[in-house]
Amino acid sequence: MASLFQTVGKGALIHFENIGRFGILITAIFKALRETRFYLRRIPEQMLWIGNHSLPIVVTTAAFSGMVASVQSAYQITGYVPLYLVGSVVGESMLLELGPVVTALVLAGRVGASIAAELGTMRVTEQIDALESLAINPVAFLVVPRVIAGLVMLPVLTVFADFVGIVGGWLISVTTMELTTTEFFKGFRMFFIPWDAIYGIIKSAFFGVMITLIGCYEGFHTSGGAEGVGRATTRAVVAACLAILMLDYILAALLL
Amino acid sequence: MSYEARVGVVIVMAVLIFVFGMMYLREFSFSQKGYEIIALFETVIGLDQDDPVIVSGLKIGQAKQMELVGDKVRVRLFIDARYRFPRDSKAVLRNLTLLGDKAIEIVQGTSAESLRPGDVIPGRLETDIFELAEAAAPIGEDIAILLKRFRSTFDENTETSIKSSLSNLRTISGAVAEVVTKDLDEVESAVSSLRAVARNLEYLTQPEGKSMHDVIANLDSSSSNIKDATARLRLAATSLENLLGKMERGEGTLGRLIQDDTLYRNLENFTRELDLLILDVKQHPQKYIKIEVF
Repeated sequence: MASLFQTVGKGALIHFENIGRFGILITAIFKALRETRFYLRRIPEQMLWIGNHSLPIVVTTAAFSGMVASVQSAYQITGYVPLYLVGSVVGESMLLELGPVVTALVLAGRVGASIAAELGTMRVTEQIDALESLAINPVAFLVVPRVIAGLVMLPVLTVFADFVGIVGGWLISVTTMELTTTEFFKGFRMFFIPWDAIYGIIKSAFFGVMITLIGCYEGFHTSGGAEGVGRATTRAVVAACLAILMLDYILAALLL
Repeated sequence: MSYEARVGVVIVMAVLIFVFGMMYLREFSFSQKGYEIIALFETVIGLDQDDPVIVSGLKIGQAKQMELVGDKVRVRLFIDARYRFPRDSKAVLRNLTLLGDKAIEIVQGTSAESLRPGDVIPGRLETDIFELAEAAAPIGEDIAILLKRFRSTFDENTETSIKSSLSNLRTISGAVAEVVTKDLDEVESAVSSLRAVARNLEYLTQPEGKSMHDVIANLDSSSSNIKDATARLRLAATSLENLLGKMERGEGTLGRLIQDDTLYRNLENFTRELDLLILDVKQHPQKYIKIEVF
C-alpha cells in the first residue's frame, strides 16, 4: 500500500515538475524576446524548415483528408438529404478540423521530433552549456526562433492544407459522384461563415506554438546520452499530439 | 534564392489563397456596382449578413448591416445596379430551405417611381413552417375527431353493408356490361343514327347549309308580314273601339238604332197594324181585291 502511494506520488511529482519547468521555459521565452540579436536572423531558417520543407507532406495528407471526407459524407448522405451537402461537409470539416489538426499532427511528428532530437543532442553534447558560457541566451538563440517560426508557419501551412483538401474533395465529388462544381460550392456556401476559416487559422497558430514549445522543452531537458535523445523525441511527439487534441477541444469550446 | 525569399513566397501564396478563397466563397467582387435601400422589419429571425436578396427567385443583392432602431430592425439591402424596382415595393423575409436558410424577397409594387438609394421599404415575415404547424394544429384535432367518429360509425355492420352494396354494384355493372354486349348491334345502330342526326344538324347549322338558310329567310319574311298584319289589326281594333264607343253613346244611325227605342215601338205598331190588316184582308178579301172578268 505504501509503495502504491509512493509510486503515485512520485508520478505526480514528476508531472508537477514538468509543468513547472514548462512554465519556467515560457517565462524565459518572454524574457528572451527582448534579445532580438540572438533570434531575428535565425527565424527565416526555421520558417523554411518548419514551413516550406513541410509543405509536400502537409499538402499530400490534406488532399487525402479532403478526398476521404468527400467519399465518407457521400456514403452517409442518403434518402432525402441532397448530395450537394457533400460540399458543405468537405468545406466545413477541412476549415474547422481536418486542415488545422491533420497539419498539426503531421508537424508534431516531423517538426516536434526534429526539434526535440536536435536540441536534445545539443544538450547531451553540452553545446547548450557552451552557448551559455559564451553569454548567448540559449532560449533566445534556440527556442524563440523555432516558436516564432511555428507560430507563423503553421497557419500558412493550414491555409495550403485547407485549399488542397477542399480541391481534393471537390475533385472526387465531381469525378466519382453525380455532383457538379456549382452544386459542390452551393453546398459549401450554404453553411460557410468566414469565422470558420479564421477560427481554423487561429487554432493552427496555437498548435504551431505548442508543437515547437514541446519539442524545445523535451530537447532542453534531455539527459542520458543517445538513448535519452531517442526518449525525448518520442515524448515530444506523443506530448505534442496529446496537447494538440486537448487544445483543439479547449479552443472549440472557447471560440465556437 | 535566399531563405527569406523562399519563405516569403510561401507566405504570400498562403495569404493570396486565403483572401481569394474568402472572396470566392462570399461571392465578393470588386466590380460589383449597386445601391443600398433600407428595409424595416419587426423581426429578422434567422437572417444573417450576406444572405441573398431575391426577386422572382433570382439573386439580385445581399443583406448587409442590421441594426435595431426602436422596435424595428433596420436592414441595409445591397441591390445590383442593373435592377430598379417600384417605390411601393415591399421586402419579405422568406425561408429558402427547410434547413432554415433565409432570403429577403423584394415584392414589386406598381408605382411608376423607382426606388432610390437610401429609400426605406416596409418588411414583413413570411409565414414560416412553425406558424403553419400552429395553424394546422386545430385542423389536426378536427381530423382526429372526424376519424374517431368515422371509426365509431364504421363498425362491422357498416362494413358488411358496404361490402354488400359493393357486391350489388358489381352485379349491376356486370348486368349492364352484359346488356351492352348483347345489344351491341342495336347500340351501335343507335349511335350511328345519332351520328347521322348530328351530321345533319351540323350541315343545317353551317353557313353553307342552304335549307336552314331558306327556312330562316322564310321565317324572317313571315315575321315581317305578321308585324304588318299586327299593325293593321291594331288600327282596325282602334277603329272598332271608336265605333263601339259612338254606338254606346248613341251617336250616328247605328247608335240611335241601339239607344233609341222609338223605331222599335214604331215597328211594333206597324207589325201589329199589319197583322190586323192581314186579318181583315183574310176576312174581307172582296174589300181589297176586286176580280173582274171582262
